[in-house]
Amino acid sequence: MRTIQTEVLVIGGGATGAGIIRDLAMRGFDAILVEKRDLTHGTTGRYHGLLHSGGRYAVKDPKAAVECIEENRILRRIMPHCLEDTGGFFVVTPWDDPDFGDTFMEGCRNAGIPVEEISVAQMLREEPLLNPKISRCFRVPDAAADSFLATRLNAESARAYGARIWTYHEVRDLMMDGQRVIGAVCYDLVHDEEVRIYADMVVNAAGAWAGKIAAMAGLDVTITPGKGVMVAINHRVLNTVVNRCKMPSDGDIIVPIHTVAVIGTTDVKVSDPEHFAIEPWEVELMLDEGEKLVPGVKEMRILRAWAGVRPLYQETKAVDTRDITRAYTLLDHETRDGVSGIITMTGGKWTTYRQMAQVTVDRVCEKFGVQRECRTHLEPLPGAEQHGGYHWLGARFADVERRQAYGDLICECELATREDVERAILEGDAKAIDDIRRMVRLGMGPCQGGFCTFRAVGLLHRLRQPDVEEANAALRDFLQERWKGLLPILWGQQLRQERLDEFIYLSVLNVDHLPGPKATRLAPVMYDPPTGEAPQGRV
Amino acid sequence: MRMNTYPDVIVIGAGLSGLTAAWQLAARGHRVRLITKGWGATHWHSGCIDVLGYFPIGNTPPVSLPRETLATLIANMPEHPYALVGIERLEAALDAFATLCHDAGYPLHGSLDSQWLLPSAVGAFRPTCLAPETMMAGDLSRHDREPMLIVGFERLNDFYPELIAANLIKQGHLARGTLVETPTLRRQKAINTLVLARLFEQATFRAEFIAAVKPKLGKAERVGIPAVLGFDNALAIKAELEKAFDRPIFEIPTVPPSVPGMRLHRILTRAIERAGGDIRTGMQVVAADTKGDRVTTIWTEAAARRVPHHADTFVLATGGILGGGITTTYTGEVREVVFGLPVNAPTDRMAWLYRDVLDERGHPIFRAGIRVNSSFRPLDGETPRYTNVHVIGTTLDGCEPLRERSFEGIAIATGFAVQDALPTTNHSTSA
Amino acid sequence: MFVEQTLDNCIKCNICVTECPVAAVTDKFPGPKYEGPQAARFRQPNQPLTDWSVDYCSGCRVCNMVCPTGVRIAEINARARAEMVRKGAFGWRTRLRNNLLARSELLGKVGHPIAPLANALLQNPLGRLAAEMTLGIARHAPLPTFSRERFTAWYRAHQPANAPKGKVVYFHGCSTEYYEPRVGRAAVRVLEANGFDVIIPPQHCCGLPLLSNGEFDAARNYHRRNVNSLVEYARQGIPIVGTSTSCTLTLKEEAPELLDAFDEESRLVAERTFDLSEFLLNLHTRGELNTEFRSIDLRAVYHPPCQYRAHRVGRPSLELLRLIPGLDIVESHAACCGIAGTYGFKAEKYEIAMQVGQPLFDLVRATGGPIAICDSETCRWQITHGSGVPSVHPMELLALAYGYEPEGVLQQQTL
Repeated sequence: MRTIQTEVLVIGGGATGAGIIRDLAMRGFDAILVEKRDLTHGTTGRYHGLLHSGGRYAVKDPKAAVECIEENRILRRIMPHCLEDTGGFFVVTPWDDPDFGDTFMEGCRNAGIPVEEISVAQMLREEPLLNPKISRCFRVPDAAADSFLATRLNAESARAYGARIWTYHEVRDLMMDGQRVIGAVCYDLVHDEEVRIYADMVVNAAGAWAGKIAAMAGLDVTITPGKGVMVAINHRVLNTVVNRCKMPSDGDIIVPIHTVAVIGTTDVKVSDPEHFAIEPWEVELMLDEGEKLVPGVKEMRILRAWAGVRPLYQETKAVDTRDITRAYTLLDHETRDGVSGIITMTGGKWTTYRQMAQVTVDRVCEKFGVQRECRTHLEPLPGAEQHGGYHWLGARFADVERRQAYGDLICECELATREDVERAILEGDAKAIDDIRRMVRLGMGPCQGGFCTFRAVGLLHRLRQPDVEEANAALRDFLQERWKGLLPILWGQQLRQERLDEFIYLSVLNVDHLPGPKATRLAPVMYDPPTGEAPQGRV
Repeated sequence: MRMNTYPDVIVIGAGLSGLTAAWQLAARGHRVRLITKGWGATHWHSGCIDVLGYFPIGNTPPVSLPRETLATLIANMPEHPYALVGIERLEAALDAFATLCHDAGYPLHGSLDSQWLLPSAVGAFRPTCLAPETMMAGDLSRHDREPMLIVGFERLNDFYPELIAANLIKQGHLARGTLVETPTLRRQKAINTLVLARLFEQATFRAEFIAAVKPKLGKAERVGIPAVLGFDNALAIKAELEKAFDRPIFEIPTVPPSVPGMRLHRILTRAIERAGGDIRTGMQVVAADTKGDRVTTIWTEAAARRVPHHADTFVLATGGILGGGITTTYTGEVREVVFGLPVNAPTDRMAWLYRDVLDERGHPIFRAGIRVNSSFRPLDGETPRYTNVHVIGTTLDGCEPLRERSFEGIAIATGFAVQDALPTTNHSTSA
Repeated sequence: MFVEQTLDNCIKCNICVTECPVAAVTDKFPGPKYEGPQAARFRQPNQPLTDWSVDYCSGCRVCNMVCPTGVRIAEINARARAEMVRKGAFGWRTRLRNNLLARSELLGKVGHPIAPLANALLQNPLGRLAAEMTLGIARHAPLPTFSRERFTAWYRAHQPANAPKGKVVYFHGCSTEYYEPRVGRAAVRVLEANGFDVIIPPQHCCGLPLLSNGEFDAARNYHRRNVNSLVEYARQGIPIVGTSTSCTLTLKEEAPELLDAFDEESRLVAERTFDLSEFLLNLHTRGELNTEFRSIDLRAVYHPPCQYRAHRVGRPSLELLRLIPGLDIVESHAACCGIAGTYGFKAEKYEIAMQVGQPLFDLVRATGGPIAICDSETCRWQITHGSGVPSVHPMELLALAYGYEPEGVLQQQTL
């Protein structure tokens, strides 16, 4: 067991937690962040990658719309290299109310969101695969965001300012001194060890898990995890974010992010942020709705499906989760519940993570009785200056070609080179192959790890020299991790791909008969329904 | 060389089963046309002939006496392709195949009475029945007094000798891994198994390789390298290296593209052409005409048109889901793509897969296959759908070729045995 | 479906990589999987350019022919190259060179009237050295020579035979018109020997050299004009035949597919277009081919050009040639002769082309025949250049077998 003392302990390694620790560190606090898995393992790593212009909330939730466009402008300034400036369309399809377009324009104007209507002909010139039956099209400054990279860079910046980021540290309990929270008992999954972290202040930024954390201090915080299912199309059928121009609902958006186009999402209330399944109807709904935007999408190759849980907070009982406000909430438990030493930041959306962090750290300053100005909106994230502009889809390709590194590709689909993977292992402190994936997009392309998993394991073994049984288990862990998101969408060419992957791993490599455990503690959390509920649709 | 303007047999698919069938049928005097969309499993597989590695499938020890276990399998699984072929014809198929390879200067070794255990490219023990001579020294039933040396190449992404050695050690062998580089390799932008195989065909490169490895040999009693010893003269190359190293050397099969698989592919395609068979690639079958219980014509996609091909008999060797002969849709449909034959597969998409990727049972959808009678005619219920269509290879129902490690065995056995079901030809025979 | 969308079929299996003849001899081309389906996921309109490696794809389509999943790799590459041209990735010198090589019709129109001078220039080592240094046209590459008489001039003076079988449109292509009219003469004779009336409507370059140099706008213009000229015949059901397998492939598929010319007229023309051997073999299948061949005692290599394989109709020329008594054909299984249209004429690619063709040259030399046979003009020039053995079109042998007087190199043979 280890014991550590710090000023502020942040729980949760998603966008919010990483934003908070950066802000804390920049304002001179001694701070530690703990995350039960890897950074972005939760909701941040499982959304469609949209940087909101605010257009989606322009009619329904003007407050959220204003927050979005403000932050949209700031993030474009501080992390252009995490964003792809795709622009966004709101389109009126034959299934939508044509008059909503005017309401939408008005909402955008009121919120200060730049909006222009373009002709359908112009829209089709830019996006030839869009449904030609679309009747109106509005352009807004939506963009695509790499939430893995942005979160990691927030953490990197925080580290540079002296913060400590501990992944694979699960909070098992909060330590109390009377009505005061004085720290957390954590479990280090990698070293199989308990760690006690004493802190003057605990910031609960656990997103959909925030209720569970709060409960450890006897606090009642009702978070309604709203599950959203997304499916990725094998390639970029669109290069612009395309939203249906209507009140937000299921399957009404396609986001081009890196090499794929993501159709999102459903919104289903679940009882547990940890245990939920991807139901067949959800995948079918995404395809049916996607078909309305891009005819033919149903017949295209689907790469993968995933689901995240939105941390929706409301003091009163919720019915339809989509009606709960997206705007974030800061809970000061000292005033709310009479428990000091802890505050909770929850709700919100990726686009507003920085503002949420700012508000949170403002309150921390207040609690500590200090006055330190926030600078996260002024100082760019690491790498922004060197990069000098937005990310663009072909950037990696151009980089490989510039260095003529064609022969050095470990992940051929996503063009991750040996150098990239080695850096992720050595400098990125990857604990599992899945951590390498989040850093360099390893295994995220069409073959879903078929050709790169064993290469990554080979490199991991070469560089780290763990016991070989651990390497073998890491290999099996990652195959299982990829399988997790394939299960809901395996048919057609993707099923054939998986059979080729099986051919490689069973027939050629025989990995199912390698020594070592079947899986490690770091093995993926599958999309399983809560225990007790009947598994739906699996044999 | 003859030309088959009017073939009497059309084989569809150029995986191992299609190639075997085309070769055997052509050698026995049939006018054979092999129609294929592209190449297939030969370029992916280990280059060994796995007959039966695990039975029952799952986390069981490897089969050590294939002949005995095959008898059990046949007794328990009457619909398994091996049950249709029988051990005798399976053995005849393996003999014929081994003879073909032997005559091509690339001998395969092994029999149904023993099983090789050869190291895989991650250091697992691979059970296999017939192995090329270039791999035999890797036999893990033999134990060395000194660590065997596994040699890899700097910047080769598909081979990690340290990992192989570590796994071999974990399983009771003495092994050591090392990486080498040579002046030629340093000049290469990309190093992969194909590049290496081409380089090994050059004497100057072999000399560089020998010079790079020699100082690292130590007391190693044998040397393992990735399977890249050239395409056409692997045996001679191996002999040259063994002479220089003064100890046995063995190849370890790599992930696709497979150089030893391509060697078998070359041997088979040459045998087909030598026997007068006509191989046509880039041709996807898109339709078939039928008359009663017979197929009269198949149509292939071509530039701006469809092209008809007539024949008396059609052999379907399109592979299962892997080969593309069976496709699936999101609605749960499982379809045989050429003739629309009934496929035996779970109808509910939710029953296709298990939760664990490496589930020992094998995923139900990957067992999807065509049920056939003893003459490989596809069944609709209990009667043949067509009398002049025969289905072979991993398109067949009743097996799980990857979990069983029977992929090549089934392909060769059924590709060989299908001739028994065809009418004998009155063309000249020259086997 | 756009050709790029076929990338979704790719299962990364590497079979294309194993067979690519260019990647086998140079690492300047990273291979079909990398440049095709893999890179296509990273190419996006209105984005900065990437590098030039895709330009090292020769467009031979061997990858397409062996891909088990149906990815249109060569076409994906061709369109990527066109995008580079559109965005100005190639310098003016390269563009000029490529256009010089690709504008075969223009070249013919300019060069033919001054044939003796032009030929002298084109074959002059100093002139060629200058062309290499200034333009990048490989000085040793097998440039053709202009013929004395244009093919259509001969045709106009030609007395047609009796034609009970109806009409056929002949698409002769640029090389027959300006360089090798003997191929056209042989084609007309073979068709006439089978009772056809040969029509030769106005026609232009098929556009393939432009397509394979990424000059899509110019190619579109040519294709449009050809479709306009041919569509009436197609509507009447008159077959359009050609002796250049590249021209016929372009009319059938390449132009419509690469240029997204999905209009009805292009489709009609494509549907009615045949390579002449394909057409004749179809006649033979129906029992309508004149098979009164006289014997030709000759052993020769036949190389089916990549462009012909891409028609996906088998090897009709080979089957026809095997109908000729005495003719002993050695079939080439070589992947490619290397030239790939204009590819091997480029200084930076000449050596690659020669290495790609080496196995074929070796076979031709080893067979030792007085001639080699191939359907595509640039391949014939390359085979002759690489092996030293003169090359002829299959129709020339068919015409000879029908009893017509030998021409060109066949004249010099004692057959």
